[in-house]
Amino acid sequence: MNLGKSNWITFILGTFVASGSAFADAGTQSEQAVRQGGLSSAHASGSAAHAIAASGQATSAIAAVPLASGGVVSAAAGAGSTAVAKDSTRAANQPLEIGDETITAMPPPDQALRNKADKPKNGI
Amino acid sequence: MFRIVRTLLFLLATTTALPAGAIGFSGDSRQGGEASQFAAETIIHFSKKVEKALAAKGARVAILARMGRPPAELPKGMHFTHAGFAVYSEITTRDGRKLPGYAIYNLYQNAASPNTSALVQDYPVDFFAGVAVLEAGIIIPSAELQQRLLAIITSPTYQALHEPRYSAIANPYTLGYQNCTEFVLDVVNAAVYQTDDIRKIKAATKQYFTAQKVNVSPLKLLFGSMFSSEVTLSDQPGEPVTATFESIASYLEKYDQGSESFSVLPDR
Repeated sequence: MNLGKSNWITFILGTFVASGSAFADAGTQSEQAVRQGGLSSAHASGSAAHAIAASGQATSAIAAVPLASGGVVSAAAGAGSTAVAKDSTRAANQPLEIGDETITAMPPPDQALRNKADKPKNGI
Repeated sequence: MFRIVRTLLFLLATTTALPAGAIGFSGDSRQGGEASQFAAETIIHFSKKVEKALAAKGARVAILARMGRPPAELPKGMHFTHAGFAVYSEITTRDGRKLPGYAIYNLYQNAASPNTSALVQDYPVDFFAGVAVLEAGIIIPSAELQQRLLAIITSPTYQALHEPRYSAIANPYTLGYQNCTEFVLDVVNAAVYQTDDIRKIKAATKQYFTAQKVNVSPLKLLFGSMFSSEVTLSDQPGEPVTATFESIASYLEKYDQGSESFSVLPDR
């Protein structure tokens, strides 16, 4: 291996950065950037989640409300509980209904194209 | 002389380098940047299998984990790389239908700002979209704890427990930084003790929870913290420790009678 001085500095720094960024989950831009030698390869259109949305096999969701067993949700200390639908038909630990349809948080492509910037909605 | 320096630097670099000690938490697949390891159909099928496993057990609230890295890249004692809450919900689709299913409540690291995080709600197929290995870790708490968790998750306490400063190896015993598993643990203890007082939550954590030692060389951690904003040692007064899915499973197995944990694997 024959590296010039500047390449050595890059190599050393890159290695250290890699050891730190190694703690990031496989999906983060930072980790991808390390993998790509410092060049960010992140493009939202190429992400795994976008690929699933683009497959047309997942239905886009706009809201989810927790379903409470027996319709009883005790309030947390110092906070009032909010937005819990009552599912009084099933007691705790009884099998629950799940359909075969796949739900995603990603908007469909036509909706995403209407947005100025297709960014995921953070927060809940 | 330059040759000696060069050799020392090379040794230093190679001893602190990869294989990446990927404790690896908390990436949001929707933020882009990850190539899918599996076909969309495979992810969809696996996600539905996980949902059905949860539903068959009657789980209203469960802790769900994924593998964002291959096991060979993970430090000893760590297997899953991200965890969040799966909550049985009535989901409204964009075309107005209401379907039963699981919504996932996550603390995700921000891709554009890796030393920060956000609370994000998504669904199983989004959760598993960018995994390296198709394996789901599941903890189903007791019915009592599920009910208390639901009370916290649907209250302002849930957001109040979020510390947006992110460290991949956040110490669960201290304040100042948080990762996805510390957040899960904080919510669990808020539910157990029915409190929103973070001091009480941390006191209980110190007394009863056994954190996972971060099995990465101190040199690697030191340089990681120097050159990567998503790793800090400032909340680690002693030997670095962090919360993991596995340590949370052990905690609940010990103290939450009736809880269970298991894995879901893809069909062979």
